[in-house]
Amino acid sequence: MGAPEVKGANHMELVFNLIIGIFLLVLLALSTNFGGMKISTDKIGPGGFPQMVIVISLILLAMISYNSYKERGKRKKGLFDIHDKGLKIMLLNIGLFGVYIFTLNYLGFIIGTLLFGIASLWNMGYKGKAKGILFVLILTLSITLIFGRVFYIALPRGLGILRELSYLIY
Amino acid sequence: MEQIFQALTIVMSPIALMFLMLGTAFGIICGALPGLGPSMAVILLLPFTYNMNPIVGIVTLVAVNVGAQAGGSISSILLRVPGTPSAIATTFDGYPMALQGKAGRALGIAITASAVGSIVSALSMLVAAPLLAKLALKFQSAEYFALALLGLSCISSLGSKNQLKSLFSACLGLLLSTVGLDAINGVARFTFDQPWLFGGIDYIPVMIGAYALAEVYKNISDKCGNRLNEGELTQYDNFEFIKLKEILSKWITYIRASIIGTIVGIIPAAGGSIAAFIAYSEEVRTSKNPELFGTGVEEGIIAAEASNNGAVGGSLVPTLTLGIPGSPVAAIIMAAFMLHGLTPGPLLLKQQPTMLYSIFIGIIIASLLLLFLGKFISKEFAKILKLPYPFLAVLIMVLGIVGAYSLRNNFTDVIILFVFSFIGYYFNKYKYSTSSFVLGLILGKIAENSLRKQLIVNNGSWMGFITRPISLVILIVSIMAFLNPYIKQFKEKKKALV
Repeated sequence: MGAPEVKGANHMELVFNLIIGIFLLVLLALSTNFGGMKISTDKIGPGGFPQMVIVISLILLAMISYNSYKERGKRKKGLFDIHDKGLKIMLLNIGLFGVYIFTLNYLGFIIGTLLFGIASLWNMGYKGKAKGILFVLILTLSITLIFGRVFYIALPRGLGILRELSYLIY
Repeated sequence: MEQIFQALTIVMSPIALMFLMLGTAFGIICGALPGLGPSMAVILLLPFTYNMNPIVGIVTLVAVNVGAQAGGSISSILLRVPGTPSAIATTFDGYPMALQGKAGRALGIAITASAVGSIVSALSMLVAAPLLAKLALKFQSAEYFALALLGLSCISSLGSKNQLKSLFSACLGLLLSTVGLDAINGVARFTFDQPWLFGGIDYIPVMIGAYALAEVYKNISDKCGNRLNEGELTQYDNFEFIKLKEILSKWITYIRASIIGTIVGIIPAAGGSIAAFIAYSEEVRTSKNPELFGTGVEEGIIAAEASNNGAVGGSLVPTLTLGIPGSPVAAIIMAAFMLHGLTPGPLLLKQQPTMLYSIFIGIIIASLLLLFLGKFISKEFAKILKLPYPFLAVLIMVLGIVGAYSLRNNFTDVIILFVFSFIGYYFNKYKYSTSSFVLGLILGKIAENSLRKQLIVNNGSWMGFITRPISLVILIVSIMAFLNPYIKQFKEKKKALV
């Protein structure tokens, strides 16, 4: 049995195209106000190239949107089918990844990666708890040692005591 | 002849061979780890060469570069995470081959092509280094612009499924490349008064986000949702040595890509990634089945890998003969020369001819070592494919962050990676071309700056692009490469109608 037909699938694409189109128009407006030093022989100027690219993009976007409108309802599966279990797991995982990224500077690489790894495995439905924790531990330590100690890359250290402790490792 | 024997004696000594082997292996590992790359690999090994014989030290660093360029293909093929910028074109056909269960063969082809590319570039250097260096000096803004167009011309073949979306993706990439301070008059463009955008958007975090993370999102959604695992990378066949007979059957592809790589490598600041795109584009242009590229065509991997390794030898030509580094890695190698009390340039060739021959021989030996070391190292990397998918997903996400962060130790690169992972996901879902987007981003700066510089030099006249012979030839080839898939499609439609 094929995937269920979602009539709004192409509408979603049209909405995205509209947002991109508006964004491009804003950029086009901004590009007309680039100041800076004038060079008489620089015929294109700082705004010329982006303006040319934006105009071509808008034309292409209009053509893509028209094609998409013509084919509305034909697509089997949309970008967001909220009842889809896999999509929910994916969105939650992206959420966890976002939290991991934005707390990395506070928690530091080691603690942040350990927490993200375990939470992400749990979210993806991995059942072997001990194996999962062991994997995350090995992954975190090996990346920290390889990048931090062998290649001298100062991975995020975190704040306060976490920062002090990180200096003992890399 | 005496100098060649002298060079052979030095490079073939057990200690030099050992360093060559270690250097090549170290290079492959660094190349395969996203965010490190050839420059980092050579810098890290530079201090170890201080006390070595200068020739052995320099040859070891060159071997690291050869290994790193080839190593980039490993993660490109296995994980869709290009280990080095020059391995982006390898993902186009390498990853689809891996999805078809032919990862071992794809790796074998990539490593073999890298070895052939390096050997051809070394031989070209040996035969015509001073001549090639003079050719490099003829490249000015008009030629750079034409080269960028030639690289961009492959977007028409990358988007065989939806040409409009492929062109649109490339335009978005070009537009993104204009973010930051304008290189000609210093005006801030699309920075929204954010200082972190003044330097522009680096393509490596964009690339990791749009390729690797977007693929991880898709796989999490598919696998954890218990849907059919279409396009799942489940199996890894053993690394396949490519037989001489097979190499000979595709010799034109190997040689053409290697020569393109060598020539583009010679041109200062062009580099392996541009070489790979141009060679890929040329391969598509000359192919009988251009529409198949991007679906796992072996010639696509050969073109990308032979050319980016060809650029290794090429970039050393202006370094050794003129004292002008052809790439960032060549600049570090030039620094290594100076640390050993040698000054690269015309005098070096007269005073130290043994050095030049040693480098050629070193590249050839490192290339041969690649074949054997590549097998073992890629086999070890391939073990990660046996991990359950949740493990692999976490590994790619964490490696992606480290890869983006380690570029400049800058957290904004990680945020860029995160943002572009969504764009990549959207692109995949609605069949836009991530490859065209990245191509536009990489080549946009070169295209715009060289276009404007040429106009400034020519007092605003556009004639400079067509009155310069090299520029004119490259422009004609670019137009042909761009139009070729359309013409073929048109002819096929006409045939079908008849």
